[in-house]
Amino acid sequence: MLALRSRTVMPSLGRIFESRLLYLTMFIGVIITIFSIKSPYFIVPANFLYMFKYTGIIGILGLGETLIILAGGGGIDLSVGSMLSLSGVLLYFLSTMVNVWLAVVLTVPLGLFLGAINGVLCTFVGIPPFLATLATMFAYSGISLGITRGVALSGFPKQFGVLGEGLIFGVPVQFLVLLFVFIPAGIMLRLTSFGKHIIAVGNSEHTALLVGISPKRVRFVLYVISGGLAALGGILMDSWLLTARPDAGLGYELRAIAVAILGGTHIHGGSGTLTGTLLATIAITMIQMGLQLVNVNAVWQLGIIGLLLVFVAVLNQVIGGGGLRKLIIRWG
Amino acid sequence: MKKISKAFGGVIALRDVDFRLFEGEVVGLVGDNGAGKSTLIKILSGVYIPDKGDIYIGGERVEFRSPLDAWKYGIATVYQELALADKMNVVENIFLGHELVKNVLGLRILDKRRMRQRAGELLKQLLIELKSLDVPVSKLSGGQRQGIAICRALNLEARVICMDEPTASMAVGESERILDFVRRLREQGKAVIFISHNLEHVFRVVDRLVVLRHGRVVGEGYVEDLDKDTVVKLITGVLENLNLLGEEVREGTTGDLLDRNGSKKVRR
Ligand SMILES: Nc1ncnc2c1ncn2[C@@H]1O[C@H](COP(=O)(O)OP(=O)(O)OP(=O)(O)O)[C@@H](O)[C@H]1O
Ligand SMILES: [Mg+2]
Repeated sequence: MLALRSRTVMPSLGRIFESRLLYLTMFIGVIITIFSIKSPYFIVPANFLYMFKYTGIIGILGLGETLIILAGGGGIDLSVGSMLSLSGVLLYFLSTMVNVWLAVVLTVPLGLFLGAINGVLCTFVGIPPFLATLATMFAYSGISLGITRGVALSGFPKQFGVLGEGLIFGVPVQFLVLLFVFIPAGIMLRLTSFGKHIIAVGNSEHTALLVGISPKRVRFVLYVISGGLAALGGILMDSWLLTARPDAGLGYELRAIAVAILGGTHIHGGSGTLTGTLLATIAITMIQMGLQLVNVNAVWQLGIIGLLLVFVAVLNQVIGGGGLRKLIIRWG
Repeated sequence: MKKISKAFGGVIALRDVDFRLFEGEVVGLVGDNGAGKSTLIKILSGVYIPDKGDIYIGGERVEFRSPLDAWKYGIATVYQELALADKMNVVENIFLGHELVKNVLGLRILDKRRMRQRAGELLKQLLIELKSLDVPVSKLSGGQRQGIAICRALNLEARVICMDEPTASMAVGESERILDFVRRLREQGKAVIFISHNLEHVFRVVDRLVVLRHGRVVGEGYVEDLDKDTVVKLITGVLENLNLLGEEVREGTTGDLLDRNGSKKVRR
């Protein structure tokens, strides 16, 4: 009975789900509807602006995460949140020594360096990325707590706040920064050899090797990029709060992974789009904001995002593994 | 290739293998499963680095550290495992690792139009018909996938083309075309290494045969001096060793891999 029904219904359902972008858009629509019913304030313009401000950091980290997961081989970066915190703290210390804008410029290479350490561990040393970046997640976070003795450091000049709080023609600067990294990244992924190599490595390491692509080199570069993006996230965070918090990035690794997976990046790499990640960023941000409006506290917000991630992962498994039918058969 | 040896852990895949190839010649490489055929051509295409032994091209000693190095010397390979990226489309697969780019505002951007066009030409040359160039190659038939792997090797305009079981999953008509194509490559003066378990195909297309057994060369000769029965005996080890080549080919006075005059000089 069950099998019979699934045979007729599931293929069409599968086709809808295959079109990731469509269902993400629908998903966003559903979120807007639910929260609008719950709270009349949800879709007021001020909130919209606020939302786009929120998308900046999650989206930037999610971009790095997407690229790393795309390249397969168990690639994942659990340390993005800690790299964000540490970069933010380092930015603070730099800003006490030099002009804040110069400090901003210097923070990015520091982030790239943190990413490079991940890259070396995951590729050339050969530690599984899950383990390596879990280790650096604790290490980087430990360092930022250590050098600040656990206290938040404030005292950035007011004008530095423009990155995190500013508006240009009504558009949050954070969102512009997001586009500023997404557009070149999109061009890189779709229109350059390196982009194709990322996908190829994610498809099959063996194939990549046989056509002369070095999976290690490709993946290394992506960890470096992820570090640089995390530093950019740290800069935005400091600017937003005008404070460097040693735990500012806490929970952001989960959000970054969530937007990558929700956006349709295959968990084992080889397929995915940046548009998907961007839409998923908007979706996750809306969920967070909605939960905020209905007074769900931050810890539960993360918990709900975690649950969503599990749900999407199962859904991906179902779609990737030959559809619900197989799942139903397997489970009786 | 001189005195090539390669071991994987404890498994010795090749022992002191000498292998020579001349322009305009098709050499068949046959042997049982695990005889070392694929390993030999992977060494020639830069995938594996031999434990011992040297590779010479036109008298020059070369060292390949990656398939890119081999490409630079004009060696292209159709791997037994095809080396396709399943979720990528036909065009992307044909140009994988060798994308065509154009200059846009100082950036090296993929030239999708030119790649598409060239992919179409290559497929046409091999008379491979596909409904669309945009489908992921995982959706194609075994023969079509093999065709794409061959297109990739042809695209490189190589002087030496290694084909590891290029017809393994092809229907009669399709493999016929591949055999024709190999002959055409020979007419163009290219050197082809043709690996196949289908001895009928081998005999119809190659000039010379090399038989490997347990990682050693156990038999060599021109096809006109060999028959299928003898080759089967060599492959299975019933016949231990047979060499029907003149000293010049076997020993090689210069030790080259490629030598334009060589092939005529020693041909009997
Ligand atoms: N990457 C590898 N790692 C370990 N062992 C290998 C590897 N590649 C080949 N071998 C071993 O080397 C030997 C030769 O293998 P090879 O693939 O060259 O044989 P072949 O002649 O191509 O066989 P077939 O006809 O089955 O393709 C085999 O015993 C095989 O198990
Ligand atoms: Mg083989």
